[in-house]
Formats: sequence, structure tokens, C-alpha cells
Amino acid sequence: MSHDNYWTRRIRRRSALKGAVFGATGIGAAALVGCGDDDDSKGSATTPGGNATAAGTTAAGATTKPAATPKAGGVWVTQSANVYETVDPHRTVASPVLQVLGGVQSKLLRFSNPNTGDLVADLAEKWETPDPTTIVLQIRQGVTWQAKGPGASNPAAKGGRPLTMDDLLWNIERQKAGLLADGTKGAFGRKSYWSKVDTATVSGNSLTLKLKAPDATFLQGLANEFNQIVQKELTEAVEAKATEISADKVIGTGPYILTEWVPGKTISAVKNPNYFLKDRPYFEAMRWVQTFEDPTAYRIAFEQKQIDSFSDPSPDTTVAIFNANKATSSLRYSGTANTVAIYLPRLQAPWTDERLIKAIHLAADRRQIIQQLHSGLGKVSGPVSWLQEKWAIDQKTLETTPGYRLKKDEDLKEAKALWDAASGSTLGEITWVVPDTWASRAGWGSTPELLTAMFNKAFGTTQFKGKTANYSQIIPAWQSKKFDPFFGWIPNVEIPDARADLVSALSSTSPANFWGINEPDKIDAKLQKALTLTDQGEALKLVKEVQDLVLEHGQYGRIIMYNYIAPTLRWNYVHDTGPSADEGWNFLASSLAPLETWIDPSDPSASGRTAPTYKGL
Amino acid sequence: MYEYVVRRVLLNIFVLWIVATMVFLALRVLPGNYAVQQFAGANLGSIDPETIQIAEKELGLDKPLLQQYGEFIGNAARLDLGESFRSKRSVWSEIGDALPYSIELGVLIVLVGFSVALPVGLISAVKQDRWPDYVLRGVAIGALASPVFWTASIAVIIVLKFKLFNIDVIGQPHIWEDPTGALKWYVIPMFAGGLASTANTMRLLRSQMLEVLREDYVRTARAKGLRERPVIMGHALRNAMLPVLTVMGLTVATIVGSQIVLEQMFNIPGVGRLLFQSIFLRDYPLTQGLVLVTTFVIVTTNLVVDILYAVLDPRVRYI
Amino acid sequence: MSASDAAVLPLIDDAWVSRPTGWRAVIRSFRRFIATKRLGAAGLAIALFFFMLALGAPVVARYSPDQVFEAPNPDYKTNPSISDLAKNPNVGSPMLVGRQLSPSGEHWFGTDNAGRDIYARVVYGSRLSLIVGFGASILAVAAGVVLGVLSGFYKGWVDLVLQRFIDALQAFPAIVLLLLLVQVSEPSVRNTVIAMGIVGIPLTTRLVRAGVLGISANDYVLAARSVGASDARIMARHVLPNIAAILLIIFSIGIGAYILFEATISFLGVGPRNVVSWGKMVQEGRAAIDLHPWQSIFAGGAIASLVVGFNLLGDALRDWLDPRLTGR
Repeated sequence: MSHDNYWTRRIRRRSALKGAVFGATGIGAAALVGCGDDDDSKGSATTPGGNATAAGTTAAGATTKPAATPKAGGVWVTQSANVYETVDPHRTVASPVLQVLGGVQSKLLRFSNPNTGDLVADLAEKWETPDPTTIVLQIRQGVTWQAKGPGASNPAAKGGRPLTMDDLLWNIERQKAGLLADGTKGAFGRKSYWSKVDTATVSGNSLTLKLKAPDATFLQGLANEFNQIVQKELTEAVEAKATEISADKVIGTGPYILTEWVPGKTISAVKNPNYFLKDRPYFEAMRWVQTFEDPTAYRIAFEQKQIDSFSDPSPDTTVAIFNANKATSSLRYSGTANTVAIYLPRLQAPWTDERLIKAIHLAADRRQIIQQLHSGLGKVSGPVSWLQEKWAIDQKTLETTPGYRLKKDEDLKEAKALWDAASGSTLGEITWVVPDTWASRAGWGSTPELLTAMFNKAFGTTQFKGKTANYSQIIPAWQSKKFDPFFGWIPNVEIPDARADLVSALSSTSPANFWGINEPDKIDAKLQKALTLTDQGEALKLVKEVQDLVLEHGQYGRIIMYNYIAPTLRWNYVHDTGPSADEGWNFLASSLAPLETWIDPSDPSASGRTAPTYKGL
Repeated sequence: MYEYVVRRVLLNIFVLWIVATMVFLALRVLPGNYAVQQFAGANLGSIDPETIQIAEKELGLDKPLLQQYGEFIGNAARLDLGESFRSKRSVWSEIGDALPYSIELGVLIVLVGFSVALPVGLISAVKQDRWPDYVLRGVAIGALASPVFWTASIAVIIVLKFKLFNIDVIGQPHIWEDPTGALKWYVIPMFAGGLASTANTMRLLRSQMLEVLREDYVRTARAKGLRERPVIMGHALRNAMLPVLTVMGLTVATIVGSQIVLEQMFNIPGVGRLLFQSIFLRDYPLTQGLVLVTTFVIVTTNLVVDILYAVLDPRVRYI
Repeated sequence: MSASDAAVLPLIDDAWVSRPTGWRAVIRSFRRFIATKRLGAAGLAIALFFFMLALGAPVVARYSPDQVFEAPNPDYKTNPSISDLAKNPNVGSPMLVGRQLSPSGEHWFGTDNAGRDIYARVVYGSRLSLIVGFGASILAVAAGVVLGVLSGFYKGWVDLVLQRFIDALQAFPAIVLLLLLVQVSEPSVRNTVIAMGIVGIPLTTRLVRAGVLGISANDYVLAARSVGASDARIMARHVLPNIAAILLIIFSIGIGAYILFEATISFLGVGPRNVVSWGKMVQEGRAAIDLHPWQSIFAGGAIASLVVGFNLLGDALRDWLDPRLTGR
């Protein structure tokens, strides 16, 4: 493995679609993965501090978009097939709810472009990091909670009242303490993130966060959708019933006011006239149709312009519908870019023999699967996803890295030798588990069989079998660290900075370390050190060393395969003022789509569209 | 008669109890539960076992199985089906939303099926083993042997390609709210499902007709010199229809719970799809409630059909 | 289920007559069947054709159904940007998977989404359909015979209790029952067959029971009983031979239904794993059936023709075996 080329090379500005991932819901369950971050450390310190920078997108070869002037007005109808479990963004485990709330509630900062990790102002107008453990945020003045709508008319809410510094402190304290108003422990997923804050103090309109230790990734975490700012009065009043979803339990300071939220059916929101950004949002209203699961239903709804855009994790349908309507529609090659991995139970026999793990790591033909399941729309990923391009092993180097080699024959030869050396073929039946929410996607039904065929062929056996399983079987099995070999999407990318994600995945104390990876010196210490470094060159070197080690061990059975792109299909009358078409706005940036999308009803492609109506407030 | 009905109702209650027990057990045997399944979309590393325990407690899944069973049966006897794990709405209101769609689709499917089956069955009985029989039956059986999702997919593509009409998969109008809109939405599923169900009705009608045509009274009618058409339409068909009609009644009942595929493809929020989703989500109360209600619809229709049959055909004795 | 239940029910009545047995008689009847029941003969031919296909799959199929066809990719580009991929998704791999190819001399039916030969998959897929169709039908008929005979012959409380369980099974929406059964264990071929067989039990049991009831009331059975014949003897000598025809009909008509049923559960994503399923092939190709029609068309066509075959055969058998319908 020669990474020398990469590590000295200038890091390109345009990086990958970062993260995240959403979408994929199978039957019922949101197969959304990866958006959540782990209950773990987020790095510290100062990344792109300073002022709001516009998304500096220098997209090489980005599909050129006519610079049309955004038109305000209209209603945007799109689809969301997710399952929502609570109205409380701080306590959600399944993240799709944040996609809805992201348009309603604000955060301190937000990403203007999740690819690059560029931050822009949200509730905080300016921010600075005078030293590695201090963050000072200047909070926007004159922001008010939404004055109308079901949330504001909830007797418990204080609609129309100004946002105060105490509101912000309460949001921080609530998550840091992890307690509900009645004093009981709540499932606060960001508790460990906020626990990195030693003190949060207010003076005038500035909020000062003092960290316990330097963490270079902390600032990006503020833009994480999980850190939405909620109103104390309403949140505490509905805390006990937060799992019973309805629009009157949500109030925010964001661009849209939630007017209707019927899980499994529809979600509607109208423009917030008092939103602090004056030229946003463009739409009078937007609506998520919630009931889609089927490619035929997608196709009917889209081709008949009942929805203006949609995305499906399995691109076959999306691309086919695009091909059937090439002149009048376009694909946005972003939206989601999930990480797909193979998990092997390293602590359980026979996988305690590392040769077997390495053999699987080598034999997995990532590029073939990307073509078979994702129409070629994806790239192979090392231990750090290509989405986090700055931190990842570059694609050129991967071409000669075992497991990723262009000359797959060499990989396969070594894999077979290892498998035979470990008497792999005497182990009896080995079953691949694929989540049923994955396998129920129209184009992905044969995933277990494809895997089976791939490894049977590689090792010249017939011992591999495939099956699907429900997440309620998979999750407890992982937690017990004894599970069947798994293939599917996994959470791997949280924020553009890869360090925090690596700590979550690999450190010996992380709850997400299902493999018992225990390298305190070679991994834990190095990553902890990298986390505190503001000098990125030094940090990159440490992260590289960790990745090399991980690759040498067949990724310890946590075999990252690739990240795929699930394009969003939309009619040409749908435009946006966000990052260019081939860059990410994705789950992390879910607040971007409602803010930046607009519709041009005079576009020829809009003929035949019945402009949706909305109920005003 | 009265005694018979009472006995049948009691037996049906027994049947419902067996079904309730079966579905209760089956759901508990299924691996996993909603307390975990609801987090399927989450970052899986962040779910600590304690969170799952809290959720299980909230859902009442921590109680002993026997207690859960007792509460379920006890509440069901008082017509309380509980509330859905997912939506937290009462199971009755979930069913109230879904059932009308399923009944609409079911009735339409049976109507289509019947209007095709009637002429085909009739002609192929009258012309038994002659070419009209062969052609009609061959075509019918051939066209109807295809999976509904295959024929429906092809039909959808044709409608989209030629921009024939608008299939409103989002508005989901009821037929009494917007008859044209609803019919356009239902037209493909009702034909796909209807044609698929034709084969059975057609066969039944054909064999009934064949049988009736050999009955004494038909021979008598013929012997009297009546022409063929009045014999067939007047005597034979009327008698052959009886079992066919009863079957239609039963078909509506079974279709209500079984059109998962069509409901899925056309985004029809009916009982079948709700059931499918609730099983996947391990939403116990909703699954149990839906199975009980569909079972109730089926056994009740069965009973009504049997009684009607007896009323219409005096030859039937109560066994 | 109820519709087909009633579709076969009218056959059962006490007019059943014993038929001559013996090989010669069987062959003679068969010849006559072929001669008089043209559609039935065609159905039989179709069924036999697929049967041969399933048996001879390794010879006939040309390729393994799992073989992925790849060719070196001249357009390969290191680290393509997203817009490179957007323009041509095929630049990302040095080996190009031959996806969604149209029919050619090399691939008679083209290739599927994963680059596998559709012809080979259609050929191998016949195995699953036939196994499921026959397996479930045999299971349902066998269980139906045991339960139906017990119920019809002993009557009384055995009948009452048994029938209520059968009622419950029947009132349970079939697809839901199947979903539950298949999910309880993993959806292997064996479990799918068992689950479908269970779903078919109510129908077969009721038909057999009705047949047994009809026959038991016959004079010759009463006569046998009056001379002291044992239950088992009456069952074996008089009852079973007389319901054999019903069984054959239920059996052959059931096969088509089970094949469609398997296609449906494969469509829903809970079908058997590790095998080629026509239903799943249709499912995977259906949304873009106008752009990449081959997979859906050939798999759907295979399902339709096999089901037609069994339905024609079943219909003809019924006409043939029911003395009242043949006019002889």
C-alpha cells in the first residue's frame, strides 16, 4: 500500500458528498441509517471557524445549471417514506424525523454545503474559537418563535415570543443532563456530545461554550440536525406524549410552520412570515407525501406530476423513470450516499481466525455490487468513506490496495489461499443476513443471492447462503456481539470531519464497537490525539496510520465496502439555489432543501401539473 | 332456523377466539418486537439496551405472556382493540380509515370478475367441448393465469405512455367523494384483480350450468318444446347462479384482507397493506385487531351467505 | 380460497360411481382423455415441458443462473466525479457488468439487472415453481385427507372441534397466515412449501370431508358396515377409492394457485431465498417494464404459461372424472 502520493497531494476543495443518508424505508420501517451519530465523542476545536462563508463550490464538471432567478411562491410536493417515532429532536434515535423538523426548527449553525463542511449562520450570526477549548457564538437578535399554526396555538406553547439566551442554555443543559422535566432519565442521543461542554455562559447576545478538552469536530456538531433548538414550554408540556406525533407539538424558529403531521399519510408546512432570513423560503407551502413504498406508485405519482421530486435508495427505478422522461426531468446526484458494509462477528468462532475475515475482505467484489445494485452510481470506500474525501484513502491508492484492487484476480487468489489455509470450506453453512428493509426495495431483492454467488464462486464452495432479517433481530444480535455475517447500510458518516466517526466505530470503549476491537495504543490513543489537533496535516497522518492498521486486519470484520449515491429525480421546473447538482445536500443538510428549492411554474415541463393548493393559516 | 343461527353465531365466536389466539401466538413467536424495530432507521450503535427496556415497558411488552394474552382477550371481548404501537391511535380508528378502501376495491374487483365470468362461463357450458368453449376458456384462463402485479405493471405503463388518464395515487379519494377520480384510481387494480378472480367464478358457473342443464326440469322444459335460449336463461342460469352468488359474497370478504399487492402498487391505504406493514413493524395491537376484524367480516359473510342460501333454496337442510 | 372451494364442491355428491381400475384401464382412459380433452392435453403438454426443463436445467440452461457476465471496461476512469458518473455510470469499474442486455445469440433472453443470463434463470426458475406447486399441493391434499376423513367419518365432537379449527384457519386471511408462517422461521423453500400447504388445508379438508360424508351415506357403505366391516376396511375399500377423483382434481387445480401464490410472496419480498424465483424476477423488472422489458416479460410469461398448463389440465380432469359433466 503506497499512500505517499495521496498524503502529500493537495487536498482538493470539492469533496465528496458527505454523508448521510436517508431515505430508504422499507416496508414500514425507516431503513434510514447512518444519519444518526453515535453516542460518542465528536471531535473538538476549531474547524472552519470564522464567519459565514458561502458555499465555495468549485465543482469540477458539475452539470451546468442555468442561473435562473429564483421565483417565490407555489407549493412543493415531495415524498418521504419514513417512519417517525417522536416529535422531540433531542430524543430521536431514528433520524428521519429530523428531516421534517429541520425545516421548522433552527440550529445554532448549519451547513451551507455538507460536502465541504462549510458552516453558515443560523441562530448564531457569528462564531469564533479564540482558543481550542472555547467557542463564542453571537446570537441573532429579534428572532421570534412562530406566532401561528397548530404549534403556536397549543395552550402550552408561547407562540410569537422572542427567542432568548435562556432558551439556548436550556437546550444545552437538557441534553447534557439527559433528564426530562420530571427528573427521569431520557434517551438523549447527544448526551455525550454535550457532555464535552464544561460550561455554557451567556453575556449579552453572546453564548460561550467552554469545552473540557480540545475537540476539532465540535463546531461541525452544532450544525448537526440533532442539535435543533426547541421551545422549553411546549417541549416540556408534550414530553410525556412526544411519541404521539402531531403538528401541535412542534414550534420552531425556522422557515416553515408545521400545519399537519399525520404519520404514514402526509406532512404539510406553510411559510413562516417572520422567518429571520428575509428572502427565504421560496415556497408558500410544502408537503411531504408519506405513503410511498412501491416503484409503480412512485412512477405514477411522478410521471403524472402529483409529486415534483422523489428519491429512492435503489436507483434502478429512478434512473429508468428519468430515461423515460429525459427531456423534461433531471437527476440530482446527491441526496443520499449511504455507506454499505459487511459485518463479521470477530469475537465469535470461527471468525476469531482472522484469516477468514481477511479472505472475505479480499473476495468482496465491491465494484461489481455497485454496478449490480446501484447502477454504477457509487465508489468504493476504505475505512473512511470517500464522502469524507479529505480523510479518506484516495481512490487511486485504493486501486492497488488489497480488497479494492483493480486486478480483482489478485485479490481473489489471496482470498482463496487464506480461506483454504483456515480450512474455511469445512466450516459448514455460512449465512449472510441482509436487512429486510433493504431486500424489500424493488431492485435489491436478490442481494442475498448475489452475495451468496459471489463468495461461493470466490472460494469454490457452496457453503454460503443468504437470508433477510428484521432489524429487531439484527440489533440485539449486534449488541450481544454474536451475529451472523451482515451486509447492508451502516452509519459511518456523521459530519464532514471523519475523526469523530472513526472514534465511534473503532475505539475500544465505543458502544458501537461490536467487534471488540481493542487496540488502545494503536487506535484509541491515536484517534484521541487526532481529535484534539488543530493542525490537520498532523491529524491526517494519524488517521492514515489507523486506517492502514485497520486494513491490515481485514478491517477487523467491520468491512466498509462502498458508498452509493441515490439520485433524486425531479421535473425541470424544480430548481434550487443550493450547491451544484452533483454535490450533496443530504440528510445532514435536510434544512437546505426546504430553504433552497424553488419552482418555476412557467417552465415547459410544468405543463400538465396541477398546482397544488394549500391551506393558509 | 333460529336455533341454527344461534348455534352458528356461537360457533363463530369460538372461531374468532381460535383466530385471536393463533395471531397472538404467531406474533410472539416472530423474532423481534416493536420496541427494537422502531429504531430500525437509527444509528444502531446508539441504541443502548436501557432505551429498549424503557420502550418495552411503555408498550407493555415486559409483562408476562399470559398476562398479555389475558388482557388482549379480555379487552377484545369488550371490543377494545387497544392502540397501535406506531401511530398511537386506536386500532378502531386505523381500521375505520382503512376498511372502506378495501371494501371499495373488493366490491369493484368482484363486479369486474363477475361481469367477465358470467358470459364466459355461460357460453363455455352451453358449448361444452366445442370450439367456443375452448377459445373462451383458453383465453380466459390464459389471460388470468398471470400474476396481478405483472398485468397491473403493464397496464400502468400503457396509461402513462399514452397519457390516458390521471391515476391519483396521492389524493386517495373515496368513491362517494369523487366518483370519477376514484374510479380512475381503481380502474387498473380492479381489472387486474377482477380478471384474476374470474377464473374461479367462471369455472364454478360453468360446472354449475353443466350440472343444471342435465337436471330433469331442464329436460322437461326442453321436451315441452321450449326454445334453447329461454331454457338456458330462464331455467338453467337462474338455478346455477345461486352457488355463484354465494361465492361472490365470500370473495368480497376474502379480498378485503388479501389485496396487499394491489394496495401496495397503487398506494391504496387499505387493510391488506396496513396488515403487511404492521406485521413487519411488529405492531402487535394493530395486527391483532386487523386480523380479528377481517376474520369477523369473513365469518359473518359466511353466515349471512349460508342463511340467504337456505332462504333462497328450500332444498338445503341445516346440517 | 372460498371461490375455488365452491368451484370444486359441486362435484361431491353421492352420485360417485366406482370406476374400473387396473393399468390397462388407466392407459385406455388416458388415451381417451387425450383424444377428447384437447385443452387438457395441451395443459398436460405444457406441464410436462416445464417438468423436463426443470429436470434437464443444467443441460438446457447454457449458463449457471448465478453467473455474472462481465467484460473489461475500456472507459474506466480512476476516481470519477459525481458528474462523470452522472454522465456515464459505467466509468467507475474496470470490469463492466453486462446489465440489462437485450436478447442476442449469447443471451437468448438478454440479461437481468445484476448481469445474469435471463434464459438460464427462467429455466432454473421452473424448479422452484414446480417444487412449490407440487409440494404444497401434496401437503395440503395429504393433510386434507387425514383431517377430512377423520372429520367426515367419525362425525360427532371430533368433527365439530376439528371443523372449527379449519374454519379459523380458513377465516384467517391467507396471505397474512403465510406472512406469519414464513417469518416465524426463515423463508427457505421447505418452509415456504409447508406454509403454503397449511394455507391450503382448509379447502382440501372440507372437500374431502364432504366427499366422505356423501359416500358414507351410500347404501354399499351401510351394507359393508352392517356385515361388520371395520372402520379401516371401509375407509380403505370404499371411501378412499371413491374420493380419489376429487383428490386428483384438487391436487391439479391447486398447483397453479400455489405457483401464483409463490410469485406473490416473492413479490412482497418474503419469498424463498437462495433460489431463482420467477415472481421475484417479474418484481425486479416491473417498474421499468417499458425500458428493460426482458426480465419481466420472460419470467411473467413463464409463470403464466405454467399456470395455464395446470389450470387447463385440472379443468379437463374435472370434466373427465365427474360423470355428470361428461354426459356419458
